[in-house]
Amino acid sequence: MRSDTVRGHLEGFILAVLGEGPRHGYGIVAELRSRSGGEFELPEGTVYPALQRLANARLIESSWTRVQGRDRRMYRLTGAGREALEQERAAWSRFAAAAAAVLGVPPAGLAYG
Amino acid sequence: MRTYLSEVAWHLRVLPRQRRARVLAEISDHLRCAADDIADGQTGDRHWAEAEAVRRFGAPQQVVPGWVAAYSLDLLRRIAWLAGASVLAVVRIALAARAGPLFTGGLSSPVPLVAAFILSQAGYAAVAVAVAQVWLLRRSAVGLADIAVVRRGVLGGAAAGMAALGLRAVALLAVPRPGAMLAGTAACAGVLAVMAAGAHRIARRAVLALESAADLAEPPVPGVRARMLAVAVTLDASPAARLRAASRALGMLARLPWPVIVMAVVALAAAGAASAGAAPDGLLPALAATPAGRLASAAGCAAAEIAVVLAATRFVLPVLALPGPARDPRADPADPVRSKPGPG
Repeated sequence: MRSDTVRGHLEGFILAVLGEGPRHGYGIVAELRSRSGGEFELPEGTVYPALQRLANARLIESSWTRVQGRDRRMYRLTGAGREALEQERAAWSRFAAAAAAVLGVPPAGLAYG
Repeated sequence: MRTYLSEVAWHLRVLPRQRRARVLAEISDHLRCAADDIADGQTGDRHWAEAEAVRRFGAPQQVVPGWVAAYSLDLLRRIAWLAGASVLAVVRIALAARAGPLFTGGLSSPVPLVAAFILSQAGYAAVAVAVAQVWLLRRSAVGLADIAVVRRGVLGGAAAGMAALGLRAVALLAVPRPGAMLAGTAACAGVLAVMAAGAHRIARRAVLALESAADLAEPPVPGVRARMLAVAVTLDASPAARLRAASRALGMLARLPWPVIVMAVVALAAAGAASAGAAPDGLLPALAATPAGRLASAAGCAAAEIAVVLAATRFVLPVLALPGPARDPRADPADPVRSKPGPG
């Protein structure tokens, strides 16, 4: 999949991954790759500025821990982030259903509400 | 890996030292985790795994502008907010000190009303900043973070406005001419409401744009990212380039968006109405002698306030965000970092 397409929705994807629980940057990247079946290919470093933007918007928060002698930054959703994630899911469901109807493709797996 | 981190560190030199150290620590952790995973899944060749981790992370020229841009946008939001709020607070306090009873009411201490003025102006500035941000993003691929920032600005402005109105309502009890105070309070409420409604309406448009089919099928020219790149370019600019950007920003002041025009008209009308009810307390006694003079003085005050807000928001934002050195032949707009000499 084109990296531009992925980047356009990267913030929502990150919120979705963090919706499952706190993760560090590499954990988020690995989860994105795993969930997309390897479809989402983009330079891994581009995830961090998106994390920074989400933190600036107070949709996520972070804290530093020490793991195996290394400093590690862990990210988690805030209340506002959880709300934004639900809105994103709802908006995406509506859009995907409409797009599927226009394109004549049966929608699948759109159970976000 | 160490060479790569050194290169990234050099590209990140525009960031404050502490923030840069944190970014580098995060990248280092990422690369080591990635190298561990790659080495586990392959032959265990650590050197190859580290090289592969670096390759997957992306070239510094590819990933660093995003960091710089995220930092720059955060910084300019703070600057715009502080500039708008502090300048307006100073103006309001100066007016309060000069004008007497209209601003201080019958209270022996002006503190509550000065606090009310500061709060109302802070709210005014917050909403104006939010409107300016939405306007700058109007043709961009707006992300969730942008929308959240705009909403926070609008909500913060409304909260400050409500607090200001509450203080003024308390002060009404001690004012010799409650009609005048009531008119001023209503005017403030009206201006805040119109501004919040305008910002909300544009924010809704931004959300709709995000949901549009065009965004998914073929992402538009990523305006936000283009602007971020421009910020990165401008941060590396020479003083002359910044001056050119500033002059262009002054030109932008002449092209005001319609919500600002509507707000200006409403603010002028409201200020005029408020002033007409408080004639003897006009700023200039000669002007206060006639209704037309009172209306003109009030309109002038309101226009000055609006001009200050716009200058503080629409001026500060473009100065930092315009691609000033893009015409500099040494700079490649697509790659602002590579155009600079390397560390050696």
